Amino acid sequence: MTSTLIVRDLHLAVRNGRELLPILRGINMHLAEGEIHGLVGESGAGKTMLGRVILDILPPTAVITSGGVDYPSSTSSPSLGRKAGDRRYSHISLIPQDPMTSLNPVKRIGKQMGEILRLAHAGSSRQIRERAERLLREVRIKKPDQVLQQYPHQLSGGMRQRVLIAMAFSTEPRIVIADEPTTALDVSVQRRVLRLIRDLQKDRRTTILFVTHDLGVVAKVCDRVSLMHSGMLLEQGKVADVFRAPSHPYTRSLLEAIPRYDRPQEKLAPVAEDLQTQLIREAHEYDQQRRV
Amino acid sequence: MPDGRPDLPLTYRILHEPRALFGLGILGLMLLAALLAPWLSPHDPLEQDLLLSFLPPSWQQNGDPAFFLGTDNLGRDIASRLIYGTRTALIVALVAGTLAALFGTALGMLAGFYGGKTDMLISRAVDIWMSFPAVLLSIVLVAVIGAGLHAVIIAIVIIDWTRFCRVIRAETMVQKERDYVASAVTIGLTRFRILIQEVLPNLLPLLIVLLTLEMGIAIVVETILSFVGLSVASDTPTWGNLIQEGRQYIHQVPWLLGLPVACVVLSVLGLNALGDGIKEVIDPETRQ
Amino acid sequence: MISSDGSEIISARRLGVALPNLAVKRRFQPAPIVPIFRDVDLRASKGQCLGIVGESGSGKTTLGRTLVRLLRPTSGTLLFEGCDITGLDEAELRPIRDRMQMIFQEPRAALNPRRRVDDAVSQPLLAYAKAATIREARDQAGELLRQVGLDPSLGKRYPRELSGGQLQRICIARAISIRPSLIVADEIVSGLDMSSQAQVLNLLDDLRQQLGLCLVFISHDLSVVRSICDEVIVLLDGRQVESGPVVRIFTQPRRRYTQSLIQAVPLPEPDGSWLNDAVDETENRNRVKAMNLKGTTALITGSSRGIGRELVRALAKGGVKKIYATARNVSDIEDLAQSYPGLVEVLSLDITDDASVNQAAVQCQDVDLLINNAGVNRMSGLLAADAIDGARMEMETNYFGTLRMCRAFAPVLKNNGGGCIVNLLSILSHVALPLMGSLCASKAAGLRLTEGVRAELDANNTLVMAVMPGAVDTDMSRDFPPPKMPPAEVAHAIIDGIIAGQEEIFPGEMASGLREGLKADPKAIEKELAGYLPG
Repeated sequence: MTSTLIVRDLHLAVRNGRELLPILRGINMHLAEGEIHGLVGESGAGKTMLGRVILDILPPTAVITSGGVDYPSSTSSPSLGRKAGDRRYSHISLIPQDPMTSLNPVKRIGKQMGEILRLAHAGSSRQIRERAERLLREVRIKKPDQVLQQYPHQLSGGMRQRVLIAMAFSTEPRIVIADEPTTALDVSVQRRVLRLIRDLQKDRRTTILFVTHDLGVVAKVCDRVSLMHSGMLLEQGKVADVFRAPSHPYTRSLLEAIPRYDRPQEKLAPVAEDLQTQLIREAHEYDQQRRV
Repeated sequence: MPDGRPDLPLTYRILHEPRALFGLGILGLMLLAALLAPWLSPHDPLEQDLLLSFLPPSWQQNGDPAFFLGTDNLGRDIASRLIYGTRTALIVALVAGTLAALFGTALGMLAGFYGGKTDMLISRAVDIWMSFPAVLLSIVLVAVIGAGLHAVIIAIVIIDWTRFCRVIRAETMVQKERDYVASAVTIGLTRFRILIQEVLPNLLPLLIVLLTLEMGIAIVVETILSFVGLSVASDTPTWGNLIQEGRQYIHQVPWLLGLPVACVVLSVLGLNALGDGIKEVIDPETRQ
Repeated sequence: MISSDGSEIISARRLGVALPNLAVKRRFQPAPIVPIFRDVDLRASKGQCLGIVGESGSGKTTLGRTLVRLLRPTSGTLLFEGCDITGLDEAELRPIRDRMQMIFQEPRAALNPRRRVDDAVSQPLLAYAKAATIREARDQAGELLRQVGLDPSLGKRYPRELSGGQLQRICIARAISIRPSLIVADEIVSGLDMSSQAQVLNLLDDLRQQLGLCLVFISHDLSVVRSICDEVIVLLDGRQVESGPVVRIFTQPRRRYTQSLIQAVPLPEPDGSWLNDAVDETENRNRVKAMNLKGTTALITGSSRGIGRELVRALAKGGVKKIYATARNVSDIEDLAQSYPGLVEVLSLDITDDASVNQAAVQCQDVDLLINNAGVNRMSGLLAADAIDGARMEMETNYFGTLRMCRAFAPVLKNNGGGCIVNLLSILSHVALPLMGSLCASKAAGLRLTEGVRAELDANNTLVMAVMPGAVDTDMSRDFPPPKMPPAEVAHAIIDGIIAGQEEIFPGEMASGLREGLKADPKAIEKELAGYLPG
């Protein structure tokens, strides 16, 4: 079993004036080839920042204070000399959250896809366009030649997301980070898009880091899952194990807070304020200990 | 990321925003110059001495420290004239800018919020108005009311109110669709109250930028109008008049033109920076 | 779970809103008006929670805004606390606005960013003079903040300093400040974290019970709706697909769309094969009316033999909830009750008799699938000796009988969410076979009847299907030369059509062949069939 992504004891902070605010506190992850790994956390947990570290698109105020990220099976070795852009197209790509803002509204789909394809493949305009059409067909878009001519606003939300998925897979990445890819979609469209992502990754044995707040999606799509809170990894393991026998009280609490249409009698049990406060306190204590 | 901590007070934030600070500095200097002109100016701006004409600035060869920035063709002290010129610039900027803003914003808000016939009437008026060549309108105006500072101000207001109207109308139409307006309707506020109490405060960031922009434009327009003789009589020192005079001697004494232009540029830059800076500070959407 | 004292707070009948579509507006022409939603019937009483469920484009947000009269209905009526508020203008609405409040999806967009939290919460109090001074209003705001579980000291803050969950609770505080009787909540938890979501939902439910609020909860999230709503209506493309008590909707949905929506929700149960399950790909226009068999109660006329009997079998296999098998003589169908105990109930029903039909409608109040299968064929031409009597008999059964049944059961179906009417006709509805011209005339009448009923019941969301097979191997076509279709095949085609929501089906090769031929050249077909004239 080859590892495609290793996060080693990652600590990240953000500079705010003269202070350094810790955002990630000792994250450890080992992702294997072909694994779909769910990354769950509420807003402020740090999952977006973790995604950015992996993609190497950190804002200038972010500082890795210790640890790092390795990409064992990639041909391009992460070294200080290379620009961030190289890493992005060589072996890792992103399926962003909001298809509306991720696509340029004034450029046709074909042009935007062409730009991405040209980063990884050489070829004439016609070859690039054929590649683009093939990709669109792979993401189950019925009339690819038409779609290439259209502008983003002419497509439905589901179709836009498919285009973004096509673009993400177009560079034959080893790792794909899917950042809440179905949150903005209707539930019936969501299912089809999830199936598409899974089918695409199965053929290619791509590792997918699936960032989401929806535990239902994690249960159906992911192999393993990591739960974050306040920049710390609270629980990690196989989906079946974590859901059936969660070890951390936060995980247990989240599972009880989710409404389920098959269990209507249970009154929702929101995550207790004390638990939240305690977790934040534990995070601060962790920071103290590290300084000492 | 909202972390539940209260915000710092407004004045503190403005003073710590670099652009706002720069703009305030420039505006402050202008105000000082305008108010304290009689005491700041080394000489009487109107005093002529033909023997001392075309003196270069004091740090150059032949310069005279008594005339810090040199003298013009009639031996008048440039520095003093520039300082007095600030008065006109400020009056024009403040009065014309504010009046254009008031008139244009009011009509723009009404058109954008009420829509329908109101919008149609106001928009047509704006379209027709904007199709008249501005300079022509100014000339006709001056023929009617005569040249002078009041003519400059009226000309600017009459021409530039449309800029405010169109932009504010567009922004009002955007704000009208926001949920807080719907929320205000459900509370039972009248349309007019919603417009004033809810929408107007949200137009402020845009309005402030437009206003400072307009003030800069007003200063420039004054210089343009003085070219066609529509501004104040050539005796009174305004930056426009100085530019017009300096234009004639550009080859011999370039600083005669350069210095007033520099003043105009600096004041416009300062005003724009102030507007940008204040907007940055008070616009909730740009802050996180 | 809830105690409703029955006083209706809000009700809508055939409510609709149509707006100009500015996206396709042409220059110098008025924008075309498109319906956003239409023919919506709903009601909610004091202390009740009504859920409105739908995906994007379903019209649910527009419906929500119409209920609080942020929009004016373009059709139908809207009653609030007994008053007709459909056509009132702003000035007339203002005095009642304090009784109906709305909470929006994005709290940051709904709160004026320049207003302090306590001023935002107390704004309605001042607007409606429930508080005299700002100080008094702020005090009341503090109390309200406490009521929604927030520290009153947050009153001094501004919206940008607080989290989404806190802001949504502030919006709730503001909404309840003036003690409205109705609150419409539009996707209020969609943008919140899981922990905030549970808090807000619990809060809303508690307030509903404490204050006796009537709540209308709009959401695309079925699990959330299940947890707090008592009644639910489902919208699709602006049409009301289904409505009913929340338990029934989730356990026995009548419409295919509702069923597919429920199945598409991923529950937090690890299941790697969930994605492999067949996905409902139907895109046809009639998705709104497609039925879900498992929730259906069917009534079939003429079920003693032929297609009728096969339908009983096929529906039983399809897993319907209940079947009323009817025939003129009950003895002919008693074996069905024995073959399917608990599922099939047999009745005597003569569709040529008014009393019998009305009796059946009274007795079978739970029917939502009506199959008018009973019919006769006298196998005679129009110029034969006994043509008039024969024609009368065929018309009485095939036309008037079906008409009677449709009229009697339309209200029953409407009560049960619209449902489906299937009329067994024939390809002969479209063309006359001289062998049985009289039958053809009655079938043609039946087709027009079906189309007329379809139009009149469209507002009820009733699917009205015309089934037009060729020759079927039953008693009715005993003298007809082969080839003839087995009735079981027709029964299955009918069930497929019900599930797909189709309005016309032509089962079998003969029917579909004739239909193609008629589309191409009707006169040629007519002439060809004339060759079948005996003698």
